[in-house]
Amino acid sequence: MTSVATSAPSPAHSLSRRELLCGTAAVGALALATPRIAQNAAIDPADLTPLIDEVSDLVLPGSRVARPGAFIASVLPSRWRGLTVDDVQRVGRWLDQAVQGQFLRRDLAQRYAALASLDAAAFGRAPAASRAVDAETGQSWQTLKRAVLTAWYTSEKGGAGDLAFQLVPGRWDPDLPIGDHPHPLSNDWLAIWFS
Amino acid sequence: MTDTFDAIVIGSGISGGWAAKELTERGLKVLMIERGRAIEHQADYANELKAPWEMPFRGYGDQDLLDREYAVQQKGTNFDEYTMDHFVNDADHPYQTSSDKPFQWRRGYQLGGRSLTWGRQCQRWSDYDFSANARDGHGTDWPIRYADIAPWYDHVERYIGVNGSHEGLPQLPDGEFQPPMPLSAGEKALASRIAAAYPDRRLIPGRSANLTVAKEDEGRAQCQYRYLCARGCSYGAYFSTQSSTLPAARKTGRLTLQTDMIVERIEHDPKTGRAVAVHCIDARTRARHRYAARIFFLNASSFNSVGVLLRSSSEGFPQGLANRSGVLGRFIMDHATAVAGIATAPGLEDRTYFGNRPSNFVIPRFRNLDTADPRFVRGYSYQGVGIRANWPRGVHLPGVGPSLRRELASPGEWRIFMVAFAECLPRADNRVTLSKATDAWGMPQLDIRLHQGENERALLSDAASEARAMLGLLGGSILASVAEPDLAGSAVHEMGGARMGHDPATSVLNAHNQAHDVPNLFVTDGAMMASSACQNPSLTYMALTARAAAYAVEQMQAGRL
Repeated sequence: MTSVATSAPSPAHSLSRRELLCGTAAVGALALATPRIAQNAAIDPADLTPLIDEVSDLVLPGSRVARPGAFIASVLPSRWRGLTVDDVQRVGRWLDQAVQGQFLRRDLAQRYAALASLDAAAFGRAPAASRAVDAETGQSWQTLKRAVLTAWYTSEKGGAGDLAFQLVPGRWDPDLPIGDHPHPLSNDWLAIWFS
Repeated sequence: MTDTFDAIVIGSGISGGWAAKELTERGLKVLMIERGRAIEHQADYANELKAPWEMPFRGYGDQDLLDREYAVQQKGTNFDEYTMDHFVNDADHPYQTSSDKPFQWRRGYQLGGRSLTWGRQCQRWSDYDFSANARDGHGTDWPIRYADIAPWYDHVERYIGVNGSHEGLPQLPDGEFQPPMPLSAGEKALASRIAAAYPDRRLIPGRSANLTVAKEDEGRAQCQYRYLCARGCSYGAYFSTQSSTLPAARKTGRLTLQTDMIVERIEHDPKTGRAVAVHCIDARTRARHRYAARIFFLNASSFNSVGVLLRSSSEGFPQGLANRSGVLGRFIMDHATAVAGIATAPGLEDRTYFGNRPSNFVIPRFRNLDTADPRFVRGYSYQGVGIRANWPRGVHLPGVGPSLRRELASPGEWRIFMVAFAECLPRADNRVTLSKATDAWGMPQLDIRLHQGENERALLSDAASEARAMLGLLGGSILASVAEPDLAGSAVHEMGGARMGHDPATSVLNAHNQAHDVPNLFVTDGAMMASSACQNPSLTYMALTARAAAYAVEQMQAGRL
């Protein structure tokens, strides 16, 4: 039997409990099937900032205030939340083609319609006549969507604005009327983990 | 130059801390050796109070770095950007395993070891467990029974503080509990349905080493329900070496602590038949040191303790110290785990909770207690949680725009998760050996081979089926149910390799954790385990450590050691 040193990632992939519980399995499935090679070195991730800002603001209106583009672009080289430059570019290309021009130069209604169309197609909910989304682009979209959601709800404005944030709750109330806490804690770590 | 002590404790984790506390409090001058760096309580919990937006990667870490240097650790629970300094760097500390059954070895090389990051669940074992090997013939009979360990469970629980409910279950004996951490609404709903449908099953609050009542005399506050335990807790609200046993040992004035010191081997004197010293390498300077003592407690964690013994071979013990039986390194185990079921719990949309309970619920074992299931031996239990889905559910929701933002600002559906912990049978071919590959200090790496067998798979198959049946009582949807075992090591309950037993020909340790072949050598971490049960093992490590320490001191005082 061959031995493998563990200083390198295991060549075999098995769905781990952590992946299943974190809900990353579905999003990461294609990424695992498609070997991750070096990211597009010709692109400066910072150039993708405007696109990411715009996509974030369409997914979660108002989230631009947390500057998601700058943050995500800064961590793109390390594949934060599984996202790559290629993913963002792939989504950008699809959106450009959907508006038959430059996505970022279209008006809000057109940008929203294009992104909503991509999202619906990626989730298999697009009308039959809609523009198709290939599996790779659909996967890239879901990965980018995960990144913008994470960027927002782990920012102070999103995590302590839309949601509640109390690092030291000080008590455990196991059963309360929903009206007492209509907004969940963004630091409900178990719920984050298990959602 | 050799420094001399009454006792040397190798390792500062859950059991090592207990050994140091008990031995110093009983009057011995003790050296505790830790291979990793010092982490002082409160002062060194670097990320304890940080919010996600204060972290460079918002808590998720640099994925390239994690893949490069934390390939194994990052797959485990409690590992994230906040806590990664409490786990080993896999690249710096490689080990060998088989490519078809990779063992996931989760480690923490620092003062306190994995006591900083453990799951804190404290479950007593019962005579169903201590007599299991004798009943069905797998493994070798434990040399102790529940009555031998029960007072030591009491002793440990009272000191560390364990919350829990009194249930009167013979398979999961009650203890000296602080008030429990109650079930959430979703969990209560499932508990009542299970109680109505299954007279032999019960869903109960977990039993965790988090204080629900402060221990002011020990400087420990009650839990603040942050669930940041693995970052280190300045309140001292969960049990760790730093919060509990180390202060007690230091208070005696008889403890010497040496960190950054890797034990290479234990020196044995063939003339006296006793261990006489440990040989160490300074992890930073590579300088060599020798420390002598009258007795030795090996608490380096299950497989590292086996490694120390295997590396301590000599003319008298060519296969490793205290290994005349030839079983050293064999019969290793880890609970077989799987996400047996995830389900929604409709009808509770108007109920929520507040705070972060650092515990879970438990459904104790119900198989093969007083009946014999023809499909498998032993049993399994479940641990789980009931939560309201939070913002990450948005990743899987179609839709963008204002409606998505509104949706995610409210609690999501109730979800109940149940993870099965199945007993792993002791098998000789599940084994730790020394590899030809060496580590950065020139010592042989460990080679760990552990596969889960047909019995474990049958247990998990039944556990998944029964989880679906129980969760189905809620009337929601089953979102997932897995019967295939996680990679071995995922439970972080590795056990065995230097098992206890009656017979020196088939075991390494006697009923007092004393090596059959070397009377002044005690092994009281997970390496001692002769079976795995399906309960969390750490409480048993602590209780047997305290018991062994009392015995060792008694023997020394009587002139027999």
